[in-house]
This record gives sequence, structure tokens and C-alpha cells, in this order.
Amino acid sequence: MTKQQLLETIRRVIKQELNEALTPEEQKELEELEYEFTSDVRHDSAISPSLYKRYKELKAKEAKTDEAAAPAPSKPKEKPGPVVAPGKPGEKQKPRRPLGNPSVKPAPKATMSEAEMLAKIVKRFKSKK
Amino acid sequence: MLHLVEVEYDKIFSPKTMTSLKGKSGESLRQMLGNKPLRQTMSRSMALLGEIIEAEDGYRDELEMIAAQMVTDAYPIIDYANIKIDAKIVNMSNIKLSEPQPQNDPTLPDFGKDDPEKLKAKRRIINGITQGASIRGAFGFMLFKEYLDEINPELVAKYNEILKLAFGIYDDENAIAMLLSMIAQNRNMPGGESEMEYNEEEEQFIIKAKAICFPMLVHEIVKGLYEIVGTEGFGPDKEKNQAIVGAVDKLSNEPNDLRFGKFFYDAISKIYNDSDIEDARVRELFFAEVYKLDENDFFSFVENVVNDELTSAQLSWATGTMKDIEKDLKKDDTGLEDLDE
Repeated sequence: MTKQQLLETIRRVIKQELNEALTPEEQKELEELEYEFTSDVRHDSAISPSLYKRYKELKAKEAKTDEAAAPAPSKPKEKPGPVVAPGKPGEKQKPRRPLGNPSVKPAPKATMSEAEMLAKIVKRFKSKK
Repeated sequence: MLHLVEVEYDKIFSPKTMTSLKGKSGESLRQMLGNKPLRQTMSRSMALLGEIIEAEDGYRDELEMIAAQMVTDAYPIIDYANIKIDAKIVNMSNIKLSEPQPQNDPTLPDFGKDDPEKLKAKRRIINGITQGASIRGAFGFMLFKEYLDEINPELVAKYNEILKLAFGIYDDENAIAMLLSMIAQNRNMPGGESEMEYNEEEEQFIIKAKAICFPMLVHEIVKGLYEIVGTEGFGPDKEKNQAIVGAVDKLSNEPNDLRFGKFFYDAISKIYNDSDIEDARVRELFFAEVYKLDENDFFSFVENVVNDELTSAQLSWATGTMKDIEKDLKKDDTGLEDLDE
């Protein structure tokens, strides 16, 4: 998990915890009011001032919990950390002194030569004769 | 049409340097083979090899792992550069060398301002260093003496002897004549082979080594490592690089690469050994920096270092370069950026 992912998880948990301050009943009430106010079939005349006041109270309470869970605005943005644990092959941080040039493929090397050596020896012997 | 022809050491180095190299080779011959007649050397190495293969039978898997571990311990650059090792002990019939590309390929690239003769000469020297490093590195099996003694208490002595015999013959000009005799009797034997690959997906170099016994496998792995270091002597142009490889990386060049390359390796390693730097990774990274020198500076550096005649400017460059490498490695190890202060 990256640092950023961890922070988001913490915020989500905090928000969940704080939302519990909005009781299940209140949460349900808020949802019903929201449905009522946004429904296509609603009539403005159906919204009583008391209901609207109640709605604003509940929204304010919800907004407060959202704000508490949000990151501080002055906090600098975190850089994403490594996705995987360092130290595994191919996942190391780039070294300051990388070794090797991938732009070339040398020929395999032997310890002893065979056919070519034979040809060379024959050539040498012939030239001496 | 541009043809890339042979490049021999006596065309690269001055007569003085060649005399020095041949003198060192003569001394090496005495150290490796003593006064043994060549024919006796060859028959002894055949007998020894049979004994080693028999003793290793049943332990190949473990020995392959030890060989990879041993080289990783002895060359910490392998971990640093995230190099993978694929090492196998195989039967002699499993070692079949692929032939290099033909050297007179009509599609040879335009070398532009680069002089292909100089590029070939540089590659030849680097190949020599690769072979030299692998001869010196093969004797590192002593690090695992205790474990090898558990398998067979006679193995370490036999490994030591086979390596001296196998590599000692390359200091003897008559060895080629003896090899002719062996080949005529169908008793010729490649000891192993190695190559390097680059996995583009993983961005990782892989050493692929095969050999008929443990000490030769160690030798092949080290060769693969120095093959990777050797690629630092090339530029970014793939076509030019492959043209040089096709012209220089030839089996027929290997005997003299094995003969003289160990002295190039020894001389450059000595600069590191004489320094107060203890981080072994610096050694291979310093070789890489030497390989990156332009051709004229490279030849001058190698010739002077072989003759123990580095100029003060060359010595100062070498010392400064190694210090810079050491600093970078410390920064990588600690994650601290301000180590210069």
C-alpha cells in the first residue's frame, strides 16, 4: 500500500467514524429529505420551512464530518511511494553507477577454441613449411 | 566496401610492451606448469578432469548454487547492478559454441568519424581483460573450501591443479601444437562457455554460464560479469557495436586474449588494490570508467599501466575517478545526498 493509499484509507475510516455521530435515524431522515427535495415529482409548496431547516441542520452536521476527514489544505501533496517492496529483482532503485551497455550483444566466449584453432594451426604449419 | 580485418596485439602495442607481456607470460608459465613437459600437462589435465567430474556427480545442483553464490560474494557489484546468474554444470556434449557473425558483412555501417581499427583494437584489449579477470576469479573457490571438503577432501587440491594446467598452457606457444595432436585424436574439450543477455522488460543483465565442472563454471560466471563490464567500451550505436563484435569476438582470438589479458587485468586491478578504497564494487566500476575513455586515451592508459609507467595525470585521473565512484556508492547505500560536504 502506498502512503497516499494509506492516507485515503485513514480519511475514509475517520469519516465513517465521524458519520456515526449522524445517527442512523438522522442519516435516514437526511436521505429522505434529500430525495424529497430532488425528486422530479416534488412541489415547492410541499417543502415546509421547518423541514428545510431540519435538512440544513443535518447537512451542516454531515459537512462538518466531511471537513474533519479532509486533508489539511496547507499540507504538501504527498508523492506516491513505491508500489512494491524494494529489494526484489528488477525493482531496485536505479543506482547512480549503472553497469552495462544494453546496446551491444557480445559473442559467447569459450575457454578453449576448437575448429578455428585447428584451422589456424594448420595455416601456421603450412606457412612454416 | 569497408572490411574489418584481424587486429593482433603486436599491432596494437609497442615492441617494448609486447616484450614485457611475453616476459610476464613466460614467468606465468613457470608458475602455473613448473617444468612439466607439455604432453604430460595435457594428459594429466585429462585424467584430473575425469576425476573431478566423477567426484562432482550427484552434487551438481549444489555446486551450481555455490558457484553463483561464491561469485556474488566475491563481486558485490553483482548485487549492486542487479545482475542475475544462470549457471549450469553440464556434460561436454552440451557445450556448443555458436559461430560469430561473418566479418565481411556488406551491410557494415558507416563509422563516420569513428576509426573502426581503433574500435576493434579497444574491443580486443577489453576481451583480453575479460579473459584475464575470469582466470584470476576462477581461483576464488578457496572461499568455499570448507564446504567443498565435505563433498570430497581432495577436490580443492584438484581444482587448483586443473585450473593451473588449463590456463597455464596458454602461456606456452607450443601448446597449440599439442592441441593439434589432441584434436587429431578427437580428445579436444571445451571447458565451458558464457554469454550475457539483457532482459529489456526487467532492465536486467543476465549471466548465462555453462561448464563441465565447478571451477570452470566459476571461471565462466566471472567471464560473464566482465563481459557486462566490457559493454561499457561501446557507444550507443547498435549497428557499429555489432560490426565490431563480429570482427573481434572470435574463437581464434581467445588463446592470446587468455595469454595476455590477465596482465592487463592485473595491472589495472593493482591501481584499485593499491588505493585506500575498500569497497570492492569500485573495482569493476573503475574498469567500466577505463573502458569509457576515448580510444587514444584508452590505449595510452593500458600501455602505460602494463609497463607500470602511468603519467601523473593518468594516476590522478584514476584516483579521482575511484573516489567519485566510492562517493556515489555511499550515497546509494545511505540515501544521503550531502556526503560531499
